Amino acid sequence: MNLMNAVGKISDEHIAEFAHVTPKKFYVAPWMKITAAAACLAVIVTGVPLVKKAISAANGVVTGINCSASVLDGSGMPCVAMNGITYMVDEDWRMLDKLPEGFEAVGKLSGSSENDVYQWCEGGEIVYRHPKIKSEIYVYTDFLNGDDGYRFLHFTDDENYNYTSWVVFNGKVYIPQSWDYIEQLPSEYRNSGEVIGFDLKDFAKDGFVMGNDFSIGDSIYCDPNSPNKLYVDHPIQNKATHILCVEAKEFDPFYAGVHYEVFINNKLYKRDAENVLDQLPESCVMIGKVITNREESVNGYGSVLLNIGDEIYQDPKISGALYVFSESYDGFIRLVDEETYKLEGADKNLIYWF
Amino acid sequence: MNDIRIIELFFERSESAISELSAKYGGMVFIIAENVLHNRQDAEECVNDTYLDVWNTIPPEKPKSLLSFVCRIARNISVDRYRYNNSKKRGVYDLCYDELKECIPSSETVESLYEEKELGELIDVFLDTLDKKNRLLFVRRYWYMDSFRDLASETNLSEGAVRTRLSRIRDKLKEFLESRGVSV
Repeated sequence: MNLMNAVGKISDEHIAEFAHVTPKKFYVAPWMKITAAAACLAVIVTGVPLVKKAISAANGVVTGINCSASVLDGSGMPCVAMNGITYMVDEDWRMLDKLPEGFEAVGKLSGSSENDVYQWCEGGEIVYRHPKIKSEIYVYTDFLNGDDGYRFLHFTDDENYNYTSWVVFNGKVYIPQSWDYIEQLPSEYRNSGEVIGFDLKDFAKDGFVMGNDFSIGDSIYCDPNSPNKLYVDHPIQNKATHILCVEAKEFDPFYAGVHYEVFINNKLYKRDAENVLDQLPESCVMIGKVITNREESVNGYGSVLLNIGDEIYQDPKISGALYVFSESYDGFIRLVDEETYKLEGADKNLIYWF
Repeated sequence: MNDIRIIELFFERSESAISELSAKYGGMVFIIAENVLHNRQDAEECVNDTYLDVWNTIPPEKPKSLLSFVCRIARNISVDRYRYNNSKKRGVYDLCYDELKECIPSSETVESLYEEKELGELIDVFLDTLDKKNRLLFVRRYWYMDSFRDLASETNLSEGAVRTRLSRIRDKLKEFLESRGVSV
C-alpha cells in the first residue's frame, strides 16, 4: 500500500486549513535587488531627517513604541512590538555590556511588567536601533540580570529570527549544536536533572527549555569536567536520543542543523541556504556523483539532501565549493567547506553593514 | 465571487464558472501540480485537466468545500500524470513516498486490514493530535508536496529543524498507527 495515497485521502478540513500557506521568501532577480536598494537609499536619504525632526519634536520620546508579549512556537517569548514589527529576544539571550557602534536610542518602551503577560519588560527602558539595520534592536534592561545591573539585550525581527530550541542549566543557556543524536552517551556523562517546563516564569530555573523540540521530563546529562556542553535525552519510541547542546559561545553555525550535506573524502561540504543557481558557472567540471544518501560519513560521496546519481561539479581552481543540481531546490545548490563558510559569513557581515 | 456562487454557475452550466474558478483557485492548483511534477508545461496541462474534471463532476457533486474539492482533483491528476511520465529521475513524490513508507512496518499486513480510505481517516485523527505548526509541516509536505526550502520559509524554521520535526512526526505517526492496530 502506498501511504502517500492514504495521505491523499485526508479530510477537506485539513487540506483547506493550510491551502493558503505560501513561502515567505522568493527568488529575487539581481536587477530587482538593485532597484530595491536604490529605492531604500532614496527613502533613507529623504526620510531620516524627517524622522529625526519628529523625534526631537517629541522631546526624545518616540510615539508608537509599545511593549507586548506573544506566544510563538508554543512557548512564551519576550518580544517588543515596534512600528508594526515584532522583535523577539534571541534564542541565546545575547546581552552586551557595550552597545555596538552605530546603534542609537530611538525611544522608550511603554507598558509595565504588571500588565505584561510574561512579566518581563519595564516601561521607560530605552530601545536602540541602527539607522541602516531594521531587523535588530537592543533594549537597555536589567531583566534577569540580577546583580549584573543593566545590559543591552538583543532582539531580532520575526522575518530574520532563527528559531531554535534551547535549555537552561546551571544558570546558563545551552543551544542544540545539531539535531543529529547519539544513542549511547560517553561514560563520563551523568544524569543531572530534567526538563521542567516551557513557561517563562521558570526561565531562571534549571530545566527550563524554549521551543517544543524537547518535552517535560527529558533527562539532562552533564560532565562536570565539560561545563560548556551537555546532552538532553528526548526519547523517541522509547529509544534514547541524546542531543548535544553547547553554550552559546561554543555554538558553531557550520555544524548546526543536519550535518551531512555532501561528504567527500572525509571532508564536509554544507549548503549555503542563499545559493540556488539556475546555471552552473562555466568553469565547473563534473567530479563525481552522489552514491549514497545514508546519513553517515562515508569515504566517498554521500548526502542526505540529494538523490543518488546527482552530479557533483566543481571549479578546479576553487576547492572550497561544490555545485550539485537538486530537484528539491529546483536548481544548482552551492555547497561550501567549513573554511569557505566562515570566510563568506564574514564577507556577508561587511556587506550587511554597508 | 464566493464558492457557493461558483458552484451554482457550474450547476447552471455557465462557462463563466471555469473562469471564476480559475481566477480564485488557479494559482493554487498550479502550485500543487508544479510541486508534484516540477514541469511547467505538464503543470499547466494538469490545471486545465482539473478544470475539465471539475466541470464534469459538478453537477451532480455539490462539494461542501470547493477549495478542498479542487485541490484534491488537482493532486490526483498531477500524481497520475507523474506516474504516467514515470521518469527514471526521482522526483519529490518519490522523496515523500520514501519518507512515509517507514511509518508502516509491514505493508502486507496493512493491506489486509485497512483500505487507503480508512487509513486516510486514521491520519485525519492523527493530524488532530498535532499542534498547528507540526500539522502544517505534515500536510504541506505530504499533501501539497512542498520542498523543505519552502517549508522552512513558511514556518520560519531552519531546514534542519523542518527535517527533524518531520522525522519526529513520522515517528509519532508510526507509533499512532501501531496503537490502532496498523502493525506487524
